[in-house]
Amino acid sequence: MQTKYQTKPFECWQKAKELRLKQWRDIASAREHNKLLTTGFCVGVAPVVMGLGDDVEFMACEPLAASTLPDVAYTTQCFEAVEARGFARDLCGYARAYWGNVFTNRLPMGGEFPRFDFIFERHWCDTLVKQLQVVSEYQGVPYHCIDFPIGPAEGERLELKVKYVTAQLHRGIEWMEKTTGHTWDDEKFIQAFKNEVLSRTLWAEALYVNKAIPAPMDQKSMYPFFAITMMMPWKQESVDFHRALLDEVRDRAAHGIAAVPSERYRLIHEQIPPWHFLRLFRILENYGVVAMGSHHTILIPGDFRETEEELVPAVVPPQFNTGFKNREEALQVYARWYLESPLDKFYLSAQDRSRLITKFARTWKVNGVILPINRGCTFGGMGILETKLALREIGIPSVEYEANLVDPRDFDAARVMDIIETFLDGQGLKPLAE
Amino acid sequence: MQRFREIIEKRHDYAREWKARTGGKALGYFCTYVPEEIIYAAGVLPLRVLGSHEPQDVTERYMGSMYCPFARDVLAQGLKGKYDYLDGVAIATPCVHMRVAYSSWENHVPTPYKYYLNMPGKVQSPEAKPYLAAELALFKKSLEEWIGKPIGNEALDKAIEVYNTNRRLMRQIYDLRRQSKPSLTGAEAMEIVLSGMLMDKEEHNRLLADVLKKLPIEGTRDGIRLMLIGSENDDVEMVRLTESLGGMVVIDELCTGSRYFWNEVVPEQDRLLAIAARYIDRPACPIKDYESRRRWTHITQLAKDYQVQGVILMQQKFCDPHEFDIPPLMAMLKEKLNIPSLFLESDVTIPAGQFRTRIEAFLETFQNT
Ligand code: SF4
Ligand code: SF4
Repeated sequence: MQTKYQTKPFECWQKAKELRLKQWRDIASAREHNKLLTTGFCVGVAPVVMGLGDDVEFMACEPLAASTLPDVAYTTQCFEAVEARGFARDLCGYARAYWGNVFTNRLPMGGEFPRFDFIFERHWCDTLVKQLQVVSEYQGVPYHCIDFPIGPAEGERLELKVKYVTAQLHRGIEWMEKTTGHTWDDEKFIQAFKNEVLSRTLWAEALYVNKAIPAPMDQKSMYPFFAITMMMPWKQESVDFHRALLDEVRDRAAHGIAAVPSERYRLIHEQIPPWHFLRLFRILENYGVVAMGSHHTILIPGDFRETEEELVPAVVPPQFNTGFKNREEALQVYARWYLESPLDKFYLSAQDRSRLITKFARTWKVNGVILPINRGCTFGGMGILETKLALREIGIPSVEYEANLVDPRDFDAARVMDIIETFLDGQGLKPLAE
Repeated sequence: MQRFREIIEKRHDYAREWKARTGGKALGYFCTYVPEEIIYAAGVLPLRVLGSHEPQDVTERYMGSMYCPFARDVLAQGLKGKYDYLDGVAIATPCVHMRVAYSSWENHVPTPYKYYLNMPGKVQSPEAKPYLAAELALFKKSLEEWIGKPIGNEALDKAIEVYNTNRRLMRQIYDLRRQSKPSLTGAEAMEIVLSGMLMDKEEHNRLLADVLKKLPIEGTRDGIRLMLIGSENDDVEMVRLTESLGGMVVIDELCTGSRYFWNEVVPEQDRLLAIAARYIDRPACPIKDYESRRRWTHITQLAKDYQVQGVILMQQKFCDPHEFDIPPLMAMLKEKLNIPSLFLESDVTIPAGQFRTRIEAFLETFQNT
């Protein structure tokens, strides 16, 4: 393959692997160590739970599903176990992968599926809350949910939401105390919240540095790293890891170390990746194409804010330095932080998604966009076809393909590659080497 | 009965005539969580945007094929200009399928006024009522700006009364179906509910009062007593088919059925809080039914009150809100209530032949017991 730039493996890769394994071990052995174990959405739930003390482990839902999916045989077993219980094959793929682990009583990394002490969730996507309702009933464990209503959140409406969420958080804390017999500690919560925000803003900073040409990270190299941001952002080890990663990305940018040595074309492969077909990114590489990420690697793990033109890493709340007056203020700041995030807007409307996608394209200087219509996630498909029109307006070509990015039985790799390669050909790109 | 059917069949003519007659505006809503009382108090005609049950190919550019056929059908109606007389549209945080349709409607259908109301997801939260009431105040303000005049308490009281009367009358109609020989069919009942979503409620009330006078308490209808549960379903033909095969739909748990009118606004000084309470406490849509399963309690009560022998669960293809609930619901019906159920999946057009065979087979199981 022709190379333009130097490349080398990431030094952080090994550390990421160790952390991932440790986190899974912490989850699997929580009961053995007399720790409480709970589960929920990977963004912004864990800090609230961590107020219960140091003896709590949290299994983020999405990383469990994502860890299941690359193993096609295991995924298929999981899906079949779910279908045997009467659930539809077209339901959210992450929900089915998660349930598959529960129903087959296994974890992808080995061992039995643990029993939770309680389930704590925030309502963001309807699927997530219904998914965990089934789990709570199956395991017979108590369930509590905080509603973050998806909808407009400007001006007065944002203030209403902050008040609504904060009031629910007070109730949720009371519920957890009653359910577990633990006392909820403001300082433990604040520390976990700070860590989570730091991990997420550091990830955003690393992505922002990744604007450099050549890009130090590509989409496939992001996955092992942002797994940490999704699995354990509230832990100190995660903050330390993200600091080291940011330093390494900066260093690579400064020295022109590329993720894809033949980089000549940048694109966004929107949505989650086809987990059972990660080879896609290797094939793209062979065209000199560097995949720069998607909302899945940018907005879900990263805390960004919007400017007129682009996305920039969010600035942490001032109270992180000055301190919080009391619990009420800490909870309000927490609620506002997530309610103001572009992540919520992304799933709200075609108009919001279009605006954000065009900002992705500008921020990371991409040449083209692949828009997968993922049959495995209706929530994430909000307005995706409409973004095509918005991209066209700013002169960025895009191509869409419809497939299930989660269910290997509903993914025709040859057809997908045919569509993508035809698109690349139209962009004047030929494979660099066979 | 004929008039109800006419309204459904000529829904667009009805709305146009209403506008010409009253000089008022019409607003289409995309989900039954939109608080009609406030719209009605503004002198605006609220009507539910429904599909047409005809195959279409105009939404493919905007919505992936994994979205439910009903949501796509709704958007198709807008794209085809069927609702060009609407002055406004509104939504109240429904499922993502409907949000996708609404979003593309906003982009491509030139309806002048649009409003997205934040409806809480967790209706079981005690915080949901005050939050919704505050959101309703903003909706009211927006409507006032749109129509150019304030909506006073008197108008709100009148709208609440009109809607509560409608709900009471609808409950009386449904009560007739509790009889061992009901005086109206499930198909007729569905037409009555649907027409109410499409017309001025005062007028609907008059029709209901009239029909109630004419219908005997005890009728002559007979058949296996069925409950219909599921996602959006305005398919009267399917109910007719079921009833032609020996079934008798005596009750439903549908947002195009009992869920729409089951509970009233309990008047209180703070009108918006009273309206909020009504929408929060109404029989929940599956996506809003958590953490506990209040739907189960409601369905159990309905099954008892209407002496239900069997349940037909009919779900729009890809409707994940219902896909999450249907397996545990079927298990609950079987294990707790000993009620057999039949699951059917519907599309824009229903496969009548296939449905006929399956419904026939289902009904036969009752003959054998
Ligand atoms: S099923 Fe639920 S979301 Fe859909 S229209 Fe009915 S109430 Fe609204
Ligand atoms: S039928 Fe189901 S998926 Fe479709 S709009 Fe109604 S609730 Fe949503």
